[in-house]
Amino acid sequence: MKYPLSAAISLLIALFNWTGPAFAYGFPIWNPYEATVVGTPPDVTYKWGEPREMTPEILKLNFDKEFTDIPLAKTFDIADLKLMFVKQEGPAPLIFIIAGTGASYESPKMLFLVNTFFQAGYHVIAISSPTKPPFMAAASSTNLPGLTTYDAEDLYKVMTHALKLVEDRTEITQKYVTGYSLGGIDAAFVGYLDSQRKEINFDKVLMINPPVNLYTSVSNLDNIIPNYRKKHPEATGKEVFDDVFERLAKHFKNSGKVKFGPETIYDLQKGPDALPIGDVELLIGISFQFSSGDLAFTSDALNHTGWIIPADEHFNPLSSDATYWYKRSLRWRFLTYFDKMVVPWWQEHHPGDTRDDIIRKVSLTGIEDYLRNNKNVGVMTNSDDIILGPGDIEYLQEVMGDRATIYPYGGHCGNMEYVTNVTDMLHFFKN
Amino acid sequence: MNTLLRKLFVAVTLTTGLWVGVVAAVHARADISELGDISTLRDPQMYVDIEAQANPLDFLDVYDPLEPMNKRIYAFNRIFDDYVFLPALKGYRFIFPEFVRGRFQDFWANIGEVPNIYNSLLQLKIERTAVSAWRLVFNTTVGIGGLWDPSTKWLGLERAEEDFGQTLGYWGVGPGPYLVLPIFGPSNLRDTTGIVADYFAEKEIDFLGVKEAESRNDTGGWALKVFDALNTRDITPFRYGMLGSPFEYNKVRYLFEKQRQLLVDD
Repeated sequence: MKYPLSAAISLLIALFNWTGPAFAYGFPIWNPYEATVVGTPPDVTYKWGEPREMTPEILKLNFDKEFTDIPLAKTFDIADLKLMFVKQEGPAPLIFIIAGTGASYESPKMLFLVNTFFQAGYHVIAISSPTKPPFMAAASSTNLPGLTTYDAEDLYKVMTHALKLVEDRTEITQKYVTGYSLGGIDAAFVGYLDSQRKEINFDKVLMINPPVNLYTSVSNLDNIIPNYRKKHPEATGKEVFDDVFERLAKHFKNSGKVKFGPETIYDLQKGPDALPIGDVELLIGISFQFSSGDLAFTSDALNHTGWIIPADEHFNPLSSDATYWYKRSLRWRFLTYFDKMVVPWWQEHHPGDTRDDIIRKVSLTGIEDYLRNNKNVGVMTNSDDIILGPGDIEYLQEVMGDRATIYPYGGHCGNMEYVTNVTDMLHFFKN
Repeated sequence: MNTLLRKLFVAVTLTTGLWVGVVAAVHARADISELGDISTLRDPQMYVDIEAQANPLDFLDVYDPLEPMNKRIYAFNRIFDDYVFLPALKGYRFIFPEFVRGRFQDFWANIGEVPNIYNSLLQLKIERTAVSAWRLVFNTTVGIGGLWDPSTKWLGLERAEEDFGQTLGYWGVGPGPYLVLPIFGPSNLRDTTGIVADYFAEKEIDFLGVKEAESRNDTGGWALKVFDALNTRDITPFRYGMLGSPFEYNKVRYLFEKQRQLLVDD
């Protein structure tokens, strides 16, 4: 044996792994906010020995949505809904993957998952989040995403159409659906809908870091900015963000080059110019605010409800007013959108439902029996996921038993690409 | 010159991460007037209330006095990209396998090492000047005319982009008004000046005779120009619409200026 010491160490590591994940879980970032922003460091992501080259194909679906707003359709290129499809040569299972809030089918996390499942031998169809403006415009029946029951209807329609497009030339052995973050809960609601309609017949459903109670998750993210302001009443945003850029500039100066990549933030946080955790947290809140703003604006523009853009006006990105609309949209937190646009619409269609009823129906509680009784539904999440509230982890464990895999830390989706997580993910579908 | 689109990509890479977030400033006393005429909206009072809670999010403005014209050029660029650039790129990628395109990339990058050298020198960055000069010599000889990049691969000497816009910035010239250039995309007055200056400097230095040949108005000259442009588009992953946001213009504008500032400061 050439390297007895390293062999002994691997044996030890194997033993530790065997004794239980809580003990040996080695994801290297312990702070949940930092993990959420940095993600999985490149040296510990799941890797394939000899990855095959992947040639993704873009599927275009058209649902004949009526656009009174032609310039809007042009801006987003949204007459068609675009999906990413990757195909195996021979017979293989097909997996649908749904993106998280505000993310498209080609976001970095999605591309990672698509590649992972492709390398593992699956056909893959990647779908943007129903909260992403192009999805809303092309495929949403309500233009009010976030209502998981209705989002599931839209996604189901998208999936059945996509299947029709590919099934003639693709040998499909089994069908799976997964998603991360909001896409995780979407996957579960799609699975539930499928258990009623039986048009696709999913063999397995996996939620990755899903919200348990949507209100809790959204509040946690919505509150980051106000909480930051409470803690730092004197700090203006300009100062905070100048500081962020100054640190980034110093980091680039020290490393001798300006290079952005998946490892940039990780390297920054390892070095002497690391951002304070409060700033890291703020970045999450601000990023969420941007998704919420785009979402609220698109919803308002498509439904002509007159909250952000006058009801009789058509969205035109060339308009000199576009910057005003942008600024107004940034005043819309997710819960503002929920209370002003979503709740009234729901109550019109479901008379008698209170705000709490709505939240219960669109959260995991709305499909609790399905989750409890279907052994083919699983969940993976982290004890310190920042979108979860007190009792959520216990709820998942109570309802789903050993189909709930809970990692001790990793933040919100931070450890999604970590070698252990991906191994478990693939294991879930293999067995 | 041909690095501009690539830099825009860098800006957009930022958005794919969380950095889009930094666009926002947590601004204590925002002025309601910056929201435009809200009187025809359904609930103008809500905006007043939000301001009163001193809890608005605001993004930092970019100086863009030519916004109407810039937006039109932006729209033109998008159409040009959809109907000319991307279809041509498709053909280019079909004809040349990845390996061959890799050689083109290294070749053009090597030609583009020239401005890195004199701009590093003009910014008194001695080490960077030496590295860029060494890269040029080593890649041109060992890398066979720059078709390969052994400096990065074998010596670990990575490329550092320096252009005349950055040199101007280094000596304290501000960005000036934001400009969207036809086909080239986002820029500002300072960096556009830089592009022009680099163009003439590169032509004057005329390393390996490429820039002079490229500027000729004959078949060879045009072929080189087209190749240069296709190579640039090939290594620029940015696609219009990829942000999936109704406010792509505003976001790209902001991120462009911010990443230029980072390049100036480094």
